[in-house]
Amino acid sequence: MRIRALVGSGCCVLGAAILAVAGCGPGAGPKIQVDLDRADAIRSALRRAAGAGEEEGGEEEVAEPTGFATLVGRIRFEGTVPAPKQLRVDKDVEVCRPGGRPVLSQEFVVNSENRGLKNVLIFVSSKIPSGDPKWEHESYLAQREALLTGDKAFDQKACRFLAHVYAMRSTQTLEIINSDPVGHNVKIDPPTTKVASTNVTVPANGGKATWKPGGESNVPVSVACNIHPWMSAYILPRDNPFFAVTDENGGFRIDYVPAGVELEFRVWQERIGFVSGSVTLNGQTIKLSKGRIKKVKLEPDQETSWEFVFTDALFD
Amino acid sequence: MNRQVDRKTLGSYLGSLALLGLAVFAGCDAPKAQFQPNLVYARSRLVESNEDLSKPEVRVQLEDVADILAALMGTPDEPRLPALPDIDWSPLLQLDQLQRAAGPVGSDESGTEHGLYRQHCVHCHGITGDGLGPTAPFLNPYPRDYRRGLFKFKSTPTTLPPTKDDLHRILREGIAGTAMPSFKVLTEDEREALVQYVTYLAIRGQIERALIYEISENLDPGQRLIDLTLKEKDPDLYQEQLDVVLAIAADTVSPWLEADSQMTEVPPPPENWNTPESIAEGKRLFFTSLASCSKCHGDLALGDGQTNDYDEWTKELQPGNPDALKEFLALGALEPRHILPRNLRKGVYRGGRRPVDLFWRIKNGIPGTPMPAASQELTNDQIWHLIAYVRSLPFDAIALPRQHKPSVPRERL
Ligand code: HEC
Ligand code: HEC
Repeated sequence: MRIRALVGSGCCVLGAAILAVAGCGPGAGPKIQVDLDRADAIRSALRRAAGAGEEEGGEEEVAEPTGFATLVGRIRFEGTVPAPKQLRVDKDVEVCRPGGRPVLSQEFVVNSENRGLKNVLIFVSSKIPSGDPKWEHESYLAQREALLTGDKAFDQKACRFLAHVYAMRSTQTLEIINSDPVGHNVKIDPPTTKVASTNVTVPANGGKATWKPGGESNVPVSVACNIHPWMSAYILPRDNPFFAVTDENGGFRIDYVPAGVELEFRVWQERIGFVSGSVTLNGQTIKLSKGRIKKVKLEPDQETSWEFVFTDALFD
Repeated sequence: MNRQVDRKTLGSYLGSLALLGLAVFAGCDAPKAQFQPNLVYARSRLVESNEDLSKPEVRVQLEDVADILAALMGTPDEPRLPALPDIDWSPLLQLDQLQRAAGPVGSDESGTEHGLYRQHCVHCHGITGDGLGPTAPFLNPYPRDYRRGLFKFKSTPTTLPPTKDDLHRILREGIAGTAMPSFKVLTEDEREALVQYVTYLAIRGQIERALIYEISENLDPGQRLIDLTLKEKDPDLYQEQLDVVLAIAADTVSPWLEADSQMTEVPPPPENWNTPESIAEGKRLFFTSLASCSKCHGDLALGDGQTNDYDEWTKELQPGNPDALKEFLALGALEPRHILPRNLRKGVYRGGRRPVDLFWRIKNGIPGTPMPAASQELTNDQIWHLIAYVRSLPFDAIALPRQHKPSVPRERL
C-alpha cells in the first residue's frame, strides 16, 4: 500500500511536469490506487461473510430494557451569536416577503432571552428493534404507521417550511401541506437509497402531498422547493421513535426511552452537522466525536435531565 | 481508438520512462484503464474546505473505498458481481454480458466483440461512468454521470431506478436535442450488454458514494471501513465491518431489482383529448397553482420562468460558493451551468415525443432536476390535457392571436 502511494504520486508529478495535461486522471487531488492483492483478500472475506449470514442465524443474546425512562433537557448557547444570513427572495415577493421585511436564514437560531438553541436534533442512534413492545411503549406502537397530519403535518407558509428541522419515523407517512396562495414543489434528496426521494408539486391554498421515507437515515435529509430556491428544511427519518428537536427555548423531551440498556445518542445541528468538540453536559465538560454520546443507561420510571451548554468555539 | 486512452497511455508512458526502476509495480505506468475515485464527493463529505484530501487519515479511508469497490465490482477490464445476502443478480446483470461491454476494444476467437462501452460511450461518459470523458466539457448538456444512479427519462416513480426497457429506449432513440446519439446501428444484443454495463457502473458509483457517506457520518477520522488485521484481534468488530459493507451493497442493488415491476401505468386519454377544448383546458391548468408549470417554464412557455437553479449533480459543487467551487473544479469537475426548464415552444422532447413519454415526464417529474412530479391532486385526465397543450405550443405563434388549428394529428400511443 505504501508502494502504490509512492508510485501513484511519483508518476503523476513527473507526468504532469512533462505533459502539463492530466497524466493519470483528471484534476489534482490524491492519486488513489487500488491494491489488487488487498482487494482479493477483502473479496474472500466478504464472500465468507455473505454466505455465513444465513446459516449462523442464531442472534446472540442482547440485553433487554427493564422499563422506560424520560429524557428531558435544554441546550443553551454561550458566546457571540453570528448575525443571521439574509436570504435572497426574488419571486412571488408579495407572498414570500410579507410586509417587505428581510427573510432570515434559520440555520442558527438562538433565543435572545434565555439563549436556548433551536432546531438541534437529539436521537438514539443504537440499532434497536423497531415495533417490539419490549422496546417501545404502546403509545409509540399505536403511532408506528400513522399519517402525520394536523399539527404534525409538514406545512409551508410565506414560502417557509414551518418546521425547519423535523424528525419522524421511517414507517410513518408525512402529510405535506401548502398554506400559501402560490404553488410549491417539495424536493427531498436523501443521501442514502434506503430513504425514498421525492419531488412533487404541492398546489396552493391547502394543497397536499404525502411522503413515506420507508427507511432510516443517520443524517437528516434536505428538503427544498425549486420554485422558491431559498426555501430549505431538514427531516430526519428514523426506524425507532426516540428522537427530539429542540424548541425555541432550546428544550427537548423524549418519552419512554428504553431503560436499563446501554444506548448511544447523537446530536446534530444544521451549521456544523454532527456536533464534534467540547460541550458542557450537566456542568461537566465532555468531548463529542461525530455527535456521539455513548453508553447512556437510564433508570426505569425516572426522569433524567440533560442541560447542555454549547459555546461559539464549536461553530468556528 | 478513443482519445482518453491515448492520452492516458502517453502520460503513463512518459511517467514510466522517468520511473524505469520502479516500473515493476503496477501504478499508472501500466496502460490499464482504471476507475477514478469520486474525489468530488469525498471532498464534499470528508474534509472541510481547504483541507487536504491526501492527509493520511483520509487517504487510508479512500484507499479502503477503492479496494472494497475492486473487491465487489472488479476493474474496467475485469468486471465482477459480488455474492450479496438476498440478492439474485441474474434478472438484472449477467457477468458474460458485462464482459462483452467491458475491457479494451476487440473480439475473441469466436468472433464475439467486446469493449463495446469503450468503443461507443467512453469519450463522453468516461471509463468510470462519471460523465467526464474527454469530449464532455464541450457538450451542453454534459453527458450523464451515472454514479448517483439517477436517470432522467424513465417510466418509474422518482425514487426508483429506470427499468431495463427505459435504458434500451434511450440507447435506441438517443436523447433528442443533446449530444447523446442513437445506437440503432448496434444489435439488440449489443445494446443489452451496454444497458447492463451502464447499470453496473451506476451501481458501482452508488456503492462508492454510500461507502464515503458511511465514513463521513459514522466513522471517526482515520477509522477503517475494513481492517483485515482485526480478524484475530477483534473478530466482532471485523464481522461488523464486513456486514456493514455487505448491507450497503445490497441496499444499493435492491431498488434496481424492484424497478421492472414498478412502472407507472399510463391510463388511456379522455374521449375529448387533443381537441381544441382539451388544449384550452391544458392551457388553463398550465397557469394554475395546481400545476404550477408556468412558474418554471414561464408565461410564454419559453423556459424562462426559473433560470438560476442547478441540478443535483451540480449542486454538489456548491456553485454559490466561489472558494469551494474552485476546489471542486481543481478535482476535475466540470464548470457548473444552470439547469434551464425546457423551452416548450421548440417541440423537442429529450425523453421521447410519444404522448406516453410526456405522460411519464409530467406524472413523475424528471429526477435530478427541478422538474417535479405532478401534484397528487392533479387527475390523469388533467395531465392528458396538459400534454395536449404542451404539444400544441410549437404550432402556436406567440405574436399572433391564439388560434388553435387542429394542428397535431392524434398520434397512436
Ligand atoms: C457524444 C457524446 C455521447 C456519447 C458517445 C454517448 N452519450 Fe450517453 N449521454 C450523452 C449526453 C450529453 C447525455 C445527457 C443528456 C441529458 O441530460 O439530457 C447522455 C445521457 C445518457 C444516459 C442517461 C439517460 C437518462 O435517462 O438519464 C444514458 C443511460 C446514456 N447516455 C448511455 C450511453 C451509452 C450506453 C452510450 C454508448 C453506447 C452513450 N451514452 C454514448 C452523451 C453521449
Ligand atoms: C420547479 C420547476 C418546474 C416546474 C414547476 C415544471 N417544470 Fe417542466 N421542466 C423543468 C426543468 C428544469 C426541465 C428540464 C429537465 C431536464 O431534462 O434537464 C423541465 C422539462 C419539462 C419537459 C420536457 C420533457 C422532455 O422530454 O424533454 C416538459 C414537457 C415539461 N417540463 C412540462 C412541464 C409541465 C406540463 C409542468 C406543469 C405540470 C412542468 N413542466 C412544471 C422545470 C419545471
